[in-house]
Formats: sequence, structure tokens, C-alpha cells
Amino acid sequence: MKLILFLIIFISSLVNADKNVFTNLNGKILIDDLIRFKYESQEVIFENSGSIPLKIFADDDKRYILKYNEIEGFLSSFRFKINLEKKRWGRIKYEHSRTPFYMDVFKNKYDNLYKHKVLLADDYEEYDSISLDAQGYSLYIKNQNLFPINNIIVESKIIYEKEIYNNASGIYLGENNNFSDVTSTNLINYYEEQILSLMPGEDITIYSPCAVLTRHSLDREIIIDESIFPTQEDIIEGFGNWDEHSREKRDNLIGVWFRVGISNNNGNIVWRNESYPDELSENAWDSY
Amino acid sequence: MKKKREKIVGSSAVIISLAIHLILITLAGGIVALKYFKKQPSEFKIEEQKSLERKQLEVPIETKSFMNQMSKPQSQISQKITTAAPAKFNISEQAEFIQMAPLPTFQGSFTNFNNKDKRLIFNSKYREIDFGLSKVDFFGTRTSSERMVLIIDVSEDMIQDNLGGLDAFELIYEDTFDLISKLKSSTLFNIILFDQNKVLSFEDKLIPAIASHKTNVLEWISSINTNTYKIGLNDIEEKDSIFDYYIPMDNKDISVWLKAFHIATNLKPESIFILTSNWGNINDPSLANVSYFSKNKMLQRYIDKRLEYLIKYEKEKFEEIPQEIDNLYTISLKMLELENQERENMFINHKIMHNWDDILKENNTEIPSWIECKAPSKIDIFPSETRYTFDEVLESFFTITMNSYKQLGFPQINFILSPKKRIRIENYSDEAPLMSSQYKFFRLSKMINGRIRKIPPLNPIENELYQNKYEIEKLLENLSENN
Repeated sequence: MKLILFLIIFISSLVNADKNVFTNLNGKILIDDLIRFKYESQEVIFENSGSIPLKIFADDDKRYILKYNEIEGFLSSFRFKINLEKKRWGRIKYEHSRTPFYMDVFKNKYDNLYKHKVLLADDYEEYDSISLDAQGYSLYIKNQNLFPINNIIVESKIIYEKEIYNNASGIYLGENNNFSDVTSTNLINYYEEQILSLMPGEDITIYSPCAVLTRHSLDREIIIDESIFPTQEDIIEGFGNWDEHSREKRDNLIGVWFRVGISNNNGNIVWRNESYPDELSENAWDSY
Repeated sequence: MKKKREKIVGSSAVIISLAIHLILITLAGGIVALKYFKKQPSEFKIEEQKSLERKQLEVPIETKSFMNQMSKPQSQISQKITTAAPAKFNISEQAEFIQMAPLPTFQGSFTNFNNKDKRLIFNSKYREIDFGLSKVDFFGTRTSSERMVLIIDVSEDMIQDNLGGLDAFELIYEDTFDLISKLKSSTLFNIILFDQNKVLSFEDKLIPAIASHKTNVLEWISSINTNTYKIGLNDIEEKDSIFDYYIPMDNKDISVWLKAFHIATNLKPESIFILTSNWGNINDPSLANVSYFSKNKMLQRYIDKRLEYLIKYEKEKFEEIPQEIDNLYTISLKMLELENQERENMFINHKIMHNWDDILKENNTEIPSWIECKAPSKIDIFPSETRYTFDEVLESFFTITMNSYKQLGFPQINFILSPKKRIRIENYSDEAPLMSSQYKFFRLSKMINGRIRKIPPLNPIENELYQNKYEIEKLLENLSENN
């Protein structure tokens, strides 16, 4: 057991990816752990060696140290601020009452056009209401570091639940499905944007993809006194039970997930996540 | 003795255990020491005393300073300005044109730079800068815009004889000429033409309204719908719209103005003019100008199933009517031939019709009504399944717009309708709302705070000949006997 433990420690010490061998312009080598970089004085702080000026390092190491510093600055929630805000981008609403109708479509021989025949269900009235709401989120990013953050990738996903009617909006009822049946499905809209550089003190607002949330309802009712007048149920064959001719559907926003990333010294992207609700980003990015 | 022996055994086990631990620690220490045996005191080794070169620190990642780019706008003189404009058009130069380097499209430091510079005043959320603002007037709808797109219906529906024929398109061309020629050179614009499912845009992007672009666009439009043999966009390949988000309509069913509008929204213009006569791809001018978007696959299935129903349940009627229709069709072709001959003699354009039976109706010929489907529930599909509701089209339109414009909200959308005249009222009902193109466009325009205008219709082109069905029948009989 102890041997296994020892082997694990031993192997992990060999595969430690952090660079601790540095070279100066003359090819001299320093083995030490990099703790931080002081951008103001352009000094590199090592665990044992203390402060060493950046300018004496070899070019590759300068690049490494500056990238290390950029990552540190990017990961600092104080120096690289990210704020999420919900927005309503647009909304339209429409409602009306009308007489429901049955419209047959046909095409005669030689016809270029489709022809139609309309039958109005005069004894009935339908109230149709639809509200469309375009929602999205904005991500405010501010670089409060003293140095620029370069090549920032911003990916965003907006996730919402869409309800879709199973049947078309006719006056006849399907045999297998109810008029009010809906299928619910989760939809994800994705958007990616790249920011070339964010200068010190500069801010930017990035927008998520849009989620169009629909709320629709259709209420149909008989407007005559059935006890006095015969209804069209007897006139049109296959006319369904009018009580089952109303329906409603409503979409829901599940959340939004932004991830902001820059590449590190190994070429891998280091991400910072911001989501609403917070639990959303606890899952894997690809799970949505 | 036993206890003592146990103690000795116990203590020797402890010693062995300690010994093993010591060996292991020594081994581990040895390996670490071997790994880092070159580790020196935390100082640089001085191997050679070379003078350190004072090199400039390189920027870690190769990126150009963005602020420097901004302070030095790259301008280039357009080469196209030197090309002579064709003599056909006389477009005055608005100003000396310098084609600016493209502005950055991402919302990075440039945007923020602008926001902080209070000297630049933004009148519109769509505009980058205000110097390209042009005042335009398209069929009486006036607006000011820096980025605009004209969407024009060039289908046969716009130039039917009852709408004034090819002269109707001449009017459209004249107003388009007037609008484009008055654009400032710094205004960005594009024109998108559509004919049913075919859509053609002049450029894939918004282009500055410089003289050469204006000339080319107008020359392009002037070649469309000039004669009755070539109407609309015949030679253009149909391409389906592609969406990376959900819309209630199938992408194959997105057609006519909505298809062109989708292309326009990708260019994010500030204002869009849509000139058309129809709401959807299916139009029946005989029935209160009913117009809607069809579910094409379902519609074809329904038509086939309906035919099966007629053969099964209305066999007698189904066998009688087609013979009569065949005769009438032959008569209509002859009528059209004679009418066009007469028009050629009068140097008038050939007749353009909605449907083959138009000329019969205009010559007061009775046409048998098609067989009604008395028991629709016996067909597997209901007609309502073959078309999209107004709500579904509305949701598609809203989704397309908001996915392009996002936080910017709706652009200024102007509808210009070329109204149709009904040929003959067959079973028209004013009580069936939400069926006509005009009603649907008015409702939509109201919802999105858009503007709508109807073009005053031209006088319909009257037939040169009055033809009698029986005379044509006799003529056809004589012709067949002679042959």
C-alpha cells in the first residue's frame, strides 16, 4: 500500500507541468518556482531567488512569464471583472377574436394556382392570443489589469424549453391526438465571439444568443344557444367535440451559460464560467 | 519468558519496520536527489562573461496594437470610380469618394472608444457614424437611413395584366432609380430580388452607394421584367434558407418575401423596404386574395389523398368534369393565341395571366366548379395541416429578426404593397379574417411598429379581342377538319 502511495507521489513529481527551469539571455539556467510577476516594476518573483528583472530572461521565457501573468490577471475576479445581466430584447403581443373556418384546397387539371373553398363556422368564435418575447443576456467584461488581455474567446449558450402543438390548428380533431397535446423539447442556441484584445481599463459587453419564448392560447366557444339552434356539429361531418378545441402552450427559459477563455502556455484554453442559474455551470459544457 | 520473548519479537518487528521505512525514505530521497542533482544554489551560473544584450521585450502574442490601428485609418481610393458610367444613366456624383477601410465588426475597444468620446453623437443604435445618412422616399414612404436594403418582388404576380402588365414594373423601376440615385455615396445599401422560392441579392454585403455601384445596380434591375418571354428570376437556382436556431416553419417552406427578409437581416440594415403583392407562396386571387405559407410536402400529400377520395367517393362527377376541362383548356389556348396575335399587331406586350382560365372568365365563359370534398374526415390529412397559421409565420419572422438583431431590437421595416384585384368573386367572405395578404401585412406592420403603404394600382390591360366560346369551338373544329 505504501509502495503504491510512494509510486503515485513519485510519478506525479515527474509529470508536474509547471515550468521551473528558466534561462537568461546568456544561456544561464535558473531552477526555481515562479510565484508571480510584478507588471509595474517588470520583475519576476521566484520562490527561492526572490525578485529578478524580466529583461534579463531569454525571449522564450519572457513570453512564458508574460503569458503566465496574463493568465493570472485573467483568472483574477477582481482584476478581470465579469458581470451577467438579463435583458428583454423585444416583445410583440397580438390577440383577436374571429369566426373559425374550414378552408379546403384543391387544384384543377392544368391549374397553376391552388384554389380554395371556405366554410365558416358561424356559430362559433375563437379567441387567439400570442405573445413573443425575445430574451437574452449581456456579459459585461472589464479588464482592470495594468496590461492587455489578448485573444479572448467568449462562448455562450442559451437554453430554453419549447412547447410545440402536436396537431395543426384546424376545426377538426385528430383521431389519435388531442387538440391540446403539446410536445416539450429543450432547445439550445449557441454563439461564439472573439475579442482581439482588451486594453487596460477597457470594458466590453458581449451578448448571448437569443431565445424567443412564445406564449400562445386558443379558446373556442359556441356563441349560439344550442337549445334553440342546431349547431354545426351536425352539419359538418367529422366536426369534433367543441369543448376540446381550446389549447395553450408556453415556453420557459432554463438559463444561460457564458464561458470566457484565453489560451495558456500549454496551448490549452483556461475558462471562466458565468451562468444563470449558477448551478447550470456545475455540469459539463457539452452536456447542453 | 514467553512475554519477554514476545517483547523481543515485537521490538524486533518495530526495528525492522523502522529499517524498511528508512530504506524507503532514503530511496525516495535518493531519486529526488538524482533527479535534481544538478540543482544549484538559487543563483545564475556565470559560465561566460558576455555583455548582456539589451533586447526589447517582445509582445508575447503576435497582435497588432488595436489603438494604433484606430488612430491610423487605412484609406484607399476606389479603383472603380474611374470607370465610365454607361450613357444610359446620368447619376450625379454626391462628393469625392474615398472608400474607407472596413470598420471593425466586433464590439471591442472601438465601441468603447466611441462610447467614451462624447464628441461623436449617435442618433441611432444601428449606426456606426452619421455621415452616411441619406433621406429616401420609396413610393411615398420616407425615412432617413445609413444602412438600407430594398427587397423587391419580381415575380409574375407583380405584372399581371390586371395590375397593369409590364408597365407596373416600369413604375417600380422608376421609383427604385429615384431612390438609389439620390443616395449619398457613404450610405450602405443592397437590393434583394425574389420570385417565389428564388432569391437573388446584388451583393452579399451592404455596399457604399458610389456612382459605379449605383450604375451597376440600376443596370441590373433594368434588365428584369422587360418582356413577356422572360419574367422573374428564371435562370436562378433555388437555395434553401439555413437556420442554426429553431423556427416553427420548415426551412424548405421559407419562401417569397420572408426568404429575402432572412437574407436582409443577416446584413443588419437599419431600414428595410419590402415591395410585394403577396403574403405567402400560395395565393388565390379568386377568393378574397387569400394568401398563406404552405407546408409544401404536406400540401402535395393532401392533394394526392384528396384525389384518391374523389375517385373513391365521387366517381361519377370525377369522370364527367375532366372532359369538360380538357375542352375548355384547348379553347383558352386558342383564345390566348388570337389575343396575343392581335396584340402583336398593335405593338402591345403579350397577355400575362394568373391562371389558364383567366381569359375564359374575361370572355364570360362558364367554368365548372371543382368537386367539393363533402367528408373531409375521410381523408387522412386535414387541409389545415397543409398551411402555417399566421401565428406560426409571425413567430418565424420574429425569431429570424431577433436572432440577427438581438439587443438592437427591430429595424425600421416598411411594407409597400402592390394590391391585387380579384378576377371574380366565387365564394368570397369578408367574415373570414386573416386570410388576405393586405390584412396580414397590416396586422404585422402594426405589431412591429412598421410602416405600410399601398401602391395605387394601374388600370388593368383590357383584352384587344372579345371572343366567344362557341366561335372558338367552331374555329377549332374547322381547323381539325382542314388538317
